[in-house]
Amino acid sequence: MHLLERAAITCDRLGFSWIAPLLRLARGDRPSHQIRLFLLAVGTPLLAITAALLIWLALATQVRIGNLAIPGPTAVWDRGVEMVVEWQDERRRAAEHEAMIAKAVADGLTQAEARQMLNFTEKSTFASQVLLSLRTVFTGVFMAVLIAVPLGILCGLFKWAHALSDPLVQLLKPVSPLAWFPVVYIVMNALITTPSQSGDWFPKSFIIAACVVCLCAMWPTLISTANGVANVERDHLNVARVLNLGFFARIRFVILPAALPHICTGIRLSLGIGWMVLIAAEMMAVSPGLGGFIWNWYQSSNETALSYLLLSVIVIGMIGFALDRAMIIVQRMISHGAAAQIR
Amino acid sequence: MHQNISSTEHPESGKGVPIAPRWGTADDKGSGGHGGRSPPKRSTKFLELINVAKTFTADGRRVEVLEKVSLEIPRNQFVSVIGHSGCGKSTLLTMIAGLEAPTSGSVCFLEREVTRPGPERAVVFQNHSLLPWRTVLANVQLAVDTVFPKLSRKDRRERAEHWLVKVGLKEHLHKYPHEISGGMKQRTGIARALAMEPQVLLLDEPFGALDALTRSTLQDEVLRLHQEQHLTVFMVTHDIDEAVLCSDRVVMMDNGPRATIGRILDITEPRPRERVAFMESQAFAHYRTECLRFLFWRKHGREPEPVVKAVQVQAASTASLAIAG
Repeated sequence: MHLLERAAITCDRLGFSWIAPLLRLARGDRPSHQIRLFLLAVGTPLLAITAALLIWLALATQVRIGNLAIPGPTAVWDRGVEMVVEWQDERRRAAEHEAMIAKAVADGLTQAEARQMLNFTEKSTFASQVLLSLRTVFTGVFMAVLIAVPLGILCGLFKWAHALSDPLVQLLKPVSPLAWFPVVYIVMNALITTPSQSGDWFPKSFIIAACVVCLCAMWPTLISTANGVANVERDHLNVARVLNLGFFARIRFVILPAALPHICTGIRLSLGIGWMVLIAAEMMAVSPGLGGFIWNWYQSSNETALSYLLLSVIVIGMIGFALDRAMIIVQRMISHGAAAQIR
Repeated sequence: MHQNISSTEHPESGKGVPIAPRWGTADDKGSGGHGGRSPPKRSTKFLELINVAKTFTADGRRVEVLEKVSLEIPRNQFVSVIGHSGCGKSTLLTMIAGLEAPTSGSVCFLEREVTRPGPERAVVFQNHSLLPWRTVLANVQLAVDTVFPKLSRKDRRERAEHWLVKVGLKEHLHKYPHEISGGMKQRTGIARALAMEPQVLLLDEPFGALDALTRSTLQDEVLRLHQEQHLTVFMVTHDIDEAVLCSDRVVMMDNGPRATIGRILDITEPRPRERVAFMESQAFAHYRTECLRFLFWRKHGREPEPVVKAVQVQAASTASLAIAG
């Protein structure tokens, strides 16, 4: 098969269906058809976004609510640029600092002495806050997966395990992150007595936010895993029986691979919920993540606050979308069989 | 107790005997093994169903599928089971496999009761049931790895490849099940079963979903392997031609519920069998007619119109099919 065609098929499979027509176009495969496909795949979303921006622009320029001026797309864009510049400045400052330390070391100081002398704390920028938020959500969801997948396998395999856990799951699933937060906060305060330091990889606010994410995000993975395991095809289980596979071999070679698409769907849902929960958790934990960023601007009386808040809303939306797409790609890569269409 | 053991002698011993099919009916008691006769030379019985019954309970209703099924299958024999759908022939196979336990009675393999599945009784499932996340080779490899854990990695790999080459899949080792045809999937299933080096091969309507050409190729393949590997084969099928062509004995099941063995037809045609020659022979037509008569009788509760020539039966059955269609 032609290399371009193969790449196009891969793009289709991974959910980048808008790239595929370009690749086929490059090959010269029915150009008008491919152009139409491309316009359909790229043009329509672009059209929708443009329309939304125009409506926003109109609202921002025409409508005033009392004293409040609604920041338009341009204002929010400027904030975005400002954030990027701030981040680059901070990078430069950090690089300069490292250079100074290197110089001091060259002059005969030890690393530790030089660092102590040239005290430097990296200012938290928007980018670093986004990164921290991502780290928190991944930690939280990772913990959720670590707990939920084994539990889910147990529930899917054994009726008694399902009967035991089901009432608890149904009870805990609808609990809001705002209800979990105080509980986790108090428990963690009692548990972690050392004061958190800056530069610490696991500050208390981080752990609390991650735990709240974990508590709220584990249920879809748990339920999906249990479903996937309970619905492994009878024939496949019979194969395992004829082969006399042991308990763990059966899980490893038959049940886990068969349930993997379900587990992946569960993780995808968990990640979505986790990202939503995270902002609330960070706001309450006053973590220096995105939630903290929002909280700070919410508290400030600055009249540009609204544009920063809108910026963070858009960024949160884009990251959530990117995470979901990434999970879909993972899901498609591992799902077996010819037609594994997931939307 | 032990009915239907009319052909405990080795199938090969029937070579050259003029065609005179013997009936073994459910009422035919004590014709071998037990009773007043001297015990057979072979001391251990290979595979034996003793008064097996199976009852399923679904939604609080009990369905008695099988009842009083007794059958002995000597080593290296090819036995087919035919019957109308719902007569429990597949259930019979799953009980021999050990995937399900009989409600009463027992299945004995080498005089030990079958309580669970095992690689010595390999199953080729109706819809191939290959693991879709494993390649053709990896599917067979899993069987080899679990059944022969003591062999070196290289040996195990060679074994898996050996069986795949044997069923003609040399070119498709690294393809996934969804990338190959139905016939190839079924071949992989057969290779996987054979890779366990079983003593009994259990085939559950193995070629039902395949086109006629692929089916006949695979039948020949199974026949060849049966000869080569000295396998004992137990095949459930609804294809009379397939049953007659392949088997030493055709077991015909009554209609369910409470189905039992209606008749047993011995096919004494010597092996290796020449497909076309055998299928064209008078003997084949005769066997085929006997099977059809039985199924007709079970369906309509009466004997079909008496016929002189087998050919006419064929014509009649075709005609009735045409009318039904």
